[in-house]
Amino acid sequence: MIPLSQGPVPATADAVLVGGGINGLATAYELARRGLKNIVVIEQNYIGSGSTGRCGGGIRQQWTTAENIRLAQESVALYEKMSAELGYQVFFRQGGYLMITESEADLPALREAVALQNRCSVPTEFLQPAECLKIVPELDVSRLKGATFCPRDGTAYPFAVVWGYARACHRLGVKIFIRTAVRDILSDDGRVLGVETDRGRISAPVVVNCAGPWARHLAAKVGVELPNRQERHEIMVSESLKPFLDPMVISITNGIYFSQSLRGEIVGGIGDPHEPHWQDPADFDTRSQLRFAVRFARALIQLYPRAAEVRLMRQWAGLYDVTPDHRPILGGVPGLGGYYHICGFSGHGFMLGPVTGRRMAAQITTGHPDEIINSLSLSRFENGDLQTDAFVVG
Amino acid sequence: MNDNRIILCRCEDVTLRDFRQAYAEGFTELESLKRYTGLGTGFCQGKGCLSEAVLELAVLRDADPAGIRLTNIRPPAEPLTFAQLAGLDIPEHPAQADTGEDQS
Repeated sequence: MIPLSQGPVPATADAVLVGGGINGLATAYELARRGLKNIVVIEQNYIGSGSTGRCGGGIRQQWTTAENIRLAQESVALYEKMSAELGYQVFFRQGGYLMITESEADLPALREAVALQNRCSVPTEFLQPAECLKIVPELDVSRLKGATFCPRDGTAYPFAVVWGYARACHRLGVKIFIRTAVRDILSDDGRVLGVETDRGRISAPVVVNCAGPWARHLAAKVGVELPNRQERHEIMVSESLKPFLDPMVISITNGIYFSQSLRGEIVGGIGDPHEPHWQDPADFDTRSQLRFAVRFARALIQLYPRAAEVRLMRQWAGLYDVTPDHRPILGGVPGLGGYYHICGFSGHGFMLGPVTGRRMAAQITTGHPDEIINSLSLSRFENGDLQTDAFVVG
Repeated sequence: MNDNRIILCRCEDVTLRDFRQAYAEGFTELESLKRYTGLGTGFCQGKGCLSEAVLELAVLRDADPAGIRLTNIRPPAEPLTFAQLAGLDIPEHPAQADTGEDQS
């Protein structure tokens, strides 16, 4: 059951999380698990209606920086136990991720990434094009130059994950309000005081901004300037087919990715450097484009010719909340006690949300510094401490 | 009549009982009911069941059907094969080529 709170919002809370997606719900659950009482989650639309519910559901450990690999490893460990822990089937399935390239020039970076991942105990292997056929038998490998494969990567059903977190939150006493908008964050004298919603004010000493594409706009209410911009990314599902595809296939050449859901649908998208980006929610445009469907269809058939006669059922768009280095922004800001943000995941929030929520909840409740949260703080953009990962794809 | 023998969504075999049970479990909006039961996600993409679902939801809520929020309608209007799409003569990178209504 998805327990939603009815009636007016409470006048006081110990923590308010803004956003009912993976970040808000996972963090609320982790805070409650650590004993924090009177937690409220505010969602402007419905559970998972923002970026979480629009994403492709992929969870991979194949990255090119040690920090991204470590976060992803921790996240996979949480996903492996998630259905049992939450008492809810989230359909996590480890079919692996097959990352392919059509460019010789990418091969040294691929081999280097495999070596780094192996040093971090991620069991990725480098594959010659013909070896990809052992993993996806009908892949057209004629243009491929190489690939990497990690059998422990996987996918989960995004809505089931947020429903599972919502249920677990409810068991721990968290109140979840949907169709409720946060209009303002209240603060005074360097402390957060709560939030103003369209259903009333909630006084709270802790406010966590998990608003995804809307996080920048919300942070600005308390003078916090986030460098994030919001990009439209499109995705589609096909009709259901009998199981034929174990892994997520992803091309670092053209950004196409596709996997098969447990309902049998091909689920996939393709990156597009020509897509617009925004910073003001009033400009967000998540209408579907015909040219996305055409580009995806051409790229899919090129890689998997047998898909030509499969029908596309439905396409939609979502927003990535993108930071200058494509890494999330976590933690608080100096001079504003009680304010935290968990945002800027740049298209990887679903795969990292469980672990960033856990780390943030630990820091909020204990005050102990966390080296990864420190590394991902907003101040890195002033200090110039940027790391870029070569495997930002899709 | 037994609500487990009334099919609400014929493409995805969602019965009236499935729908009522999902509502009782807290999936109280069509967007969430669609994602939990699969209603409206098959070949007809909801053309055959969404109006019935709205009427049933109005009964469950004891509300006016006119006030029930529909799901976003996603393109394409009819399923198309990837070959059909790949063969369309449209440029891959123009600025405007909207197909859809989704704006939530």
